[in-house]
Amino acid sequence: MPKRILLALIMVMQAVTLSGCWDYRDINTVAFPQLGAYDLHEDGETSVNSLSQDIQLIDLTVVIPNIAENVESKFKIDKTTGILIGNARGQKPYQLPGGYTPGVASSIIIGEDLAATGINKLNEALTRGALNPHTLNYAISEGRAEKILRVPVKDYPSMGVYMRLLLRSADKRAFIATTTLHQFEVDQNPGKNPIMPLLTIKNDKVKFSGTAILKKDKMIGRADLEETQYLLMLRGIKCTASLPFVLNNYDNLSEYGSVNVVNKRKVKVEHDGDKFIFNISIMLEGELTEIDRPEGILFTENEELIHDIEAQISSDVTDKCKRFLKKMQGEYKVDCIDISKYALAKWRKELEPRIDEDFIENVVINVNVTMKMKDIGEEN
Amino acid sequence: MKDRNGSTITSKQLIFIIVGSQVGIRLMYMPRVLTAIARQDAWIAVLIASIVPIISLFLIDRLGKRLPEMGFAQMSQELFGKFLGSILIIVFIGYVIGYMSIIMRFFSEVTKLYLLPKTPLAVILLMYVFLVVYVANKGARVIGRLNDLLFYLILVTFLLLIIPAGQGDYTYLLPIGEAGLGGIARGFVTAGYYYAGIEVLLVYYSLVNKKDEIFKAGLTAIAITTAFYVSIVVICELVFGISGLQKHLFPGFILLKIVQIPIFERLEFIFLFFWLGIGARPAINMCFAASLAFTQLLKLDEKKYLIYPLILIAVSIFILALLPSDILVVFNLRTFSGYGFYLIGIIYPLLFLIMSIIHEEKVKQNA
Repeated sequence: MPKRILLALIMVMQAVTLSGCWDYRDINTVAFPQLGAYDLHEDGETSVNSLSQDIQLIDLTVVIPNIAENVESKFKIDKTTGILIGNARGQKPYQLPGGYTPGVASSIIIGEDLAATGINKLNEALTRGALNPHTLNYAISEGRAEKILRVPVKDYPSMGVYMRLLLRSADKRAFIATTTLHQFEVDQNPGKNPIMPLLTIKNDKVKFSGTAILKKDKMIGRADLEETQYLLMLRGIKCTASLPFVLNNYDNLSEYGSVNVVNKRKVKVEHDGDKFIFNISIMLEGELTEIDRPEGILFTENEELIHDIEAQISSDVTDKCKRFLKKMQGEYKVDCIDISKYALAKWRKELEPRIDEDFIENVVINVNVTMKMKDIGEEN
Repeated sequence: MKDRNGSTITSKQLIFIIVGSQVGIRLMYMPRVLTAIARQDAWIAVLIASIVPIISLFLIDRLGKRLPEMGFAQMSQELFGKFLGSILIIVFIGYVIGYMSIIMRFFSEVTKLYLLPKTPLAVILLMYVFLVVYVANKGARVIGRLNDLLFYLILVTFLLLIIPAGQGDYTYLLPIGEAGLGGIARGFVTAGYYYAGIEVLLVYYSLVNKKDEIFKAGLTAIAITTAFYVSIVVICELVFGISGLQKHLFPGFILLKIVQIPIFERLEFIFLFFWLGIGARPAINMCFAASLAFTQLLKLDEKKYLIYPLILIAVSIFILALLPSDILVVFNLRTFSGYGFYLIGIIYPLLFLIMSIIHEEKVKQNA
């Protein structure tokens, strides 16, 4: 009997202590930010702990849904300043009642000025925190990221919800770059560089405006929406998206339309003395969405029409990819299409010390695009 | 010799006891440590290192076949004399205490980091120690059944770790063999002591009811452990790359944070739900082995007195586990426990076997 009493006592102790005696928090008082914005500190505001005039302070602005009942607004926007994100977060208790748990945030937007100084230092607070998921979506904003959070949202409960829906799996909807915290980290391995979607505010709406090109963790350039298409094809990011085409045949009448494509890539690399030659094959598979053509032109009577469309798309995409590659090697000078890894896979020891400096701009990159139309829909 | 609770274990339960003693928290940080040494060939080092427990198994099995009914303590005193034999048992118990204090400290640190950040470390350790003492006191049969049950639960959680492999990049594994023989050999030495746990067979051997099945059971257990280890190292390499792996203390946990599945959302919390089973098994198995050896050394009735050395060992582990100032110190101490495994897992059975051959006649008489 005494043994059973002792056992019962131990079990009660375990049930009490391991179920959160010290870690208990009332959920109604905890702030769960959905969306965060990181910017360089704006003049006129000071942090509670000012350490040095020389350190550039960071602004952390968050969207926090109000889960309490009977409140006027569905969400609140809170801004604090600190030496880095963790310190900025640490200022929240001075103006937010209850606890603050960043572990459910789904998206982070970084102002482009701050992104140019380096993102790794901002990442630390997220990656060191064991409770933070690595599936957070990242994006960079044109101008201050805080402005994006403050755009009024009518059709969604909050900007946090809107951004989560906008950023998540965007590559399944169009040629849009998506990056998670995990992806951003692994894309800084030797030979790799991350890319991030670029956001802008237009007509009071937050939209994609292109892709930010990064050298490791610093933003160094941007690609517009059109260039983003070819960047993603070259990078081998599988997207489902619409591609327009224009045919110039059939008595000089222009036929035009669009196809819905899925892209794939294969890369082969050869080593010829000092030269590295990359051969990129892009395969586009798609279905015809629409076509404006002269009356009487039917696919069943004009079998070459499909091939003409395929050839036109292949040719257009090849040209545009080559143009992008020229820009990449001439202007960005970083491997933003993730091909250096194939060279590392063969000659890692030899290449790893120099793969991130003076490599991609000195290689030869050939690109070949093939388009295969699998479907023309119901119409003839 | 049977555990005098009347408990014997089957060869199938032995498989799960050995796997349970080997597969634990080290699964979560092993890829980082090994890739720092053997780079992308770490998985080769882990695969080849499975020869270490096989050698240990072979030696213990040979020894056990010569002295099938003798317990570990009795064997030690028969072969080395009362004094030296007792010293060897005490060293074994000291090894278990040191090794388990590191394991328990790791387990508690991870529990604190991911689940209970504000709960004092001592409280988590204390609760863990209570659990180990309670289960180990129940005897070998209960331990065998518990390991059997927990193995299947842990198999399910291990399958969760495979899900992120879809985000992997095969180029991180290439080129194969570039680390060279030197790198793979250094990785082999470190990977070898991740198979620590096989040495429990020194104590459990005499408790198995069918001795002729032990070697096969041991090989099966080692094969399962090797499969776990190689899988986790390969998956971590695929997902993080060599450089990326060095950024995380416990890349095995990070694996579960990079995917999000509807309904389940955060996979790492599902994994942590089964976490106690993963962390507790090595301690339960090894503490029982050390306590049993202790009672046999003092020629006490295990049924009545097993609890006392168990409490003594558990308290020692608790105190030792609290000594390191932070987790980085614990990572450094891990190396010493690795050397301990080579001593207890390889040198001990080899010495015992040599002595059993030298004293063959005496052994035959007493057996």
